[in-house]
Amino acid sequence: MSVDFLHILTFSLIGFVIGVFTALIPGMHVNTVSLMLVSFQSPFLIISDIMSVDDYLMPLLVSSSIISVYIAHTFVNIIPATFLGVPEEGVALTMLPTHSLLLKGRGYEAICLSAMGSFFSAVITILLMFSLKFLLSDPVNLYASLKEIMVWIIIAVISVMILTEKSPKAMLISSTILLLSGVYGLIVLDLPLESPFGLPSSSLFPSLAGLFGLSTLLSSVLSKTSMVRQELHEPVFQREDKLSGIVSVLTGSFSGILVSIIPGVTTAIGTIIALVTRGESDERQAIITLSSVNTAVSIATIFNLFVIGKTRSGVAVVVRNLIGAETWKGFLPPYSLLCLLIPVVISASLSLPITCRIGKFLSEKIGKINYQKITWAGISLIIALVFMFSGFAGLLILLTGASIGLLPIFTGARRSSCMGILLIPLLIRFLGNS
Amino acid sequence: MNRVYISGVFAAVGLLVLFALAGITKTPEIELNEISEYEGRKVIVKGVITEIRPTSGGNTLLLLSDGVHDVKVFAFGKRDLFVGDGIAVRGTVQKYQDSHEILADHIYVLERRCTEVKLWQLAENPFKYLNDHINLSCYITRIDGYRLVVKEGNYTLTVIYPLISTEKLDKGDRVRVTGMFLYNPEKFSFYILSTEVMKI
Repeated sequence: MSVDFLHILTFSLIGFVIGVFTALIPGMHVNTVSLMLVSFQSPFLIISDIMSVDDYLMPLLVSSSIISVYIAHTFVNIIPATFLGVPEEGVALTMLPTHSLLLKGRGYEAICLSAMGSFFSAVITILLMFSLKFLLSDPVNLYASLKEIMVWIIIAVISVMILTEKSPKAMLISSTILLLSGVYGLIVLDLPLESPFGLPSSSLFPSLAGLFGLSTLLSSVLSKTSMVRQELHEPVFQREDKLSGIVSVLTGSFSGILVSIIPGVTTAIGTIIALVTRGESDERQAIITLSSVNTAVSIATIFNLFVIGKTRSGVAVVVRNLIGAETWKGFLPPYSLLCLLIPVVISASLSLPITCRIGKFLSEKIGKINYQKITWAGISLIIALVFMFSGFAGLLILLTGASIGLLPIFTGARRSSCMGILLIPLLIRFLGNS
Repeated sequence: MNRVYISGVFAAVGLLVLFALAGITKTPEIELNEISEYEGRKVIVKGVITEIRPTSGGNTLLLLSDGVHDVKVFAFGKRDLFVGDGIAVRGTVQKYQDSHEILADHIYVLERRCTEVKLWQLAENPFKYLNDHINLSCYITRIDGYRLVVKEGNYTLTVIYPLISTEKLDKGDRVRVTGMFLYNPEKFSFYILSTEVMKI
């Protein structure tokens, strides 16, 4: 099977444009977008007719578009999270430092840092995955042992999170919040939800939007936070910042690759592993680290289709159903993997400038609006989206999540302890299996 | 402190209500013979896969059995499942061509009945695997109607594959064969009665 570079390029560009738009829609998950692309293939067929593409190449080309959408999402989804407080799963933790920079008038800088983190992690992840292939599958087969040590990684992450709090009192508060959000996770993550509009619903969106999004916005309303004028200068890096940035991207990329391999461990868990591994760092480095995870996971899940032959994301499932990825045996990577790297490279390279550009545009605009109005708009939007996707039960999940999410804000404990929602159920599942 | 107290109470009340809601809306686990009473509702059923058929649209149709009753389960996409696997299915009961079937949302493998074996292991100790559901990776060396001859290393074995036509398979293809390892007393030979032969 051979395919024209121009065809892949065109389909990747189409995917990129779709991805930028859909990622800007708050609450729109990339899995929903990719399922929609597979269902409505007729626009693709028209384009393929114009370009006279052979039918048998269509699955590969549609996959290129979907992967392009996926990568664009990991860059652009920081924008609705930062400006409106509506987080997608992968950016629930990232929005905390970006939102805080926004309030200090450095929203544009936050967006640029996030885009840079994502971009450099894309480069690193592609390079790493080529070498890691030989460790993960034949001949070293690290995949199997990684699965075994995951439970210890989770325990270590939880311990570090609690033990590095400032005082014994803060440790106690932090563990209480961790447990509380863990119980919350155990109850809500299996709750069957139905959208009143027949949309695909998952309890992850209302719960994370409550814990991290709505709680942030409510605390802004309660404390009558105002936003200072937005400065629009590019991020400046001192020499040590650059070195620190490299460490952040590497930590983020490794955490992303790690969680992309283990079944059931999601991007959000990757961000918490990265945050804990990276240790104390400033907001800027936290943004770079966390954004790296998000992009690294997406790229690594595409590689994993070929390396370990497993689907580790909704998008990977869609791609495997389309092209039925062949396993990477021997030294050279399979042809279809090489083809699918083209959308990754294109989408990542274009997403970096476009994310910064949109960030700049919105920062300019948002600086002129009263911040309390934006906050109320964000709150209304979250409530409307949660109701649309998951009905009244979703609203209950959202409000409970927000109440739990406010606890660390009011007590001064670390907000990442709310990730107990995913850590505790995951730990119980791993312990149950072993 | 007051604010902490208020959000704490809200969180606790919310958790209690959600816990009660989870109890009420919990998907019921039902027996296979009860599914007609649950048309249009979400249920969980358990059973063993007795047949797997890929559909023309690239989806999967399973036949699930509890030893007495059979139920068809329709799942989107290709699934990594084998005949003999014990599974739990969460999905919606629907009526299709006069019979009830389950449209699966999630399929959880409870017990893998298939043993992954190499051809040399079968050759060295055939009685260990006799009448077992097995899973084997090998090359096709001959295709004769529904009868395949497969090879790995120095060993060859016959695979009977009556369910689906072998048109899409070619000599030299590397395949994964799933099926039951049986003995044919008339020919003094072992063979696999296959339910799935998949190119890999």
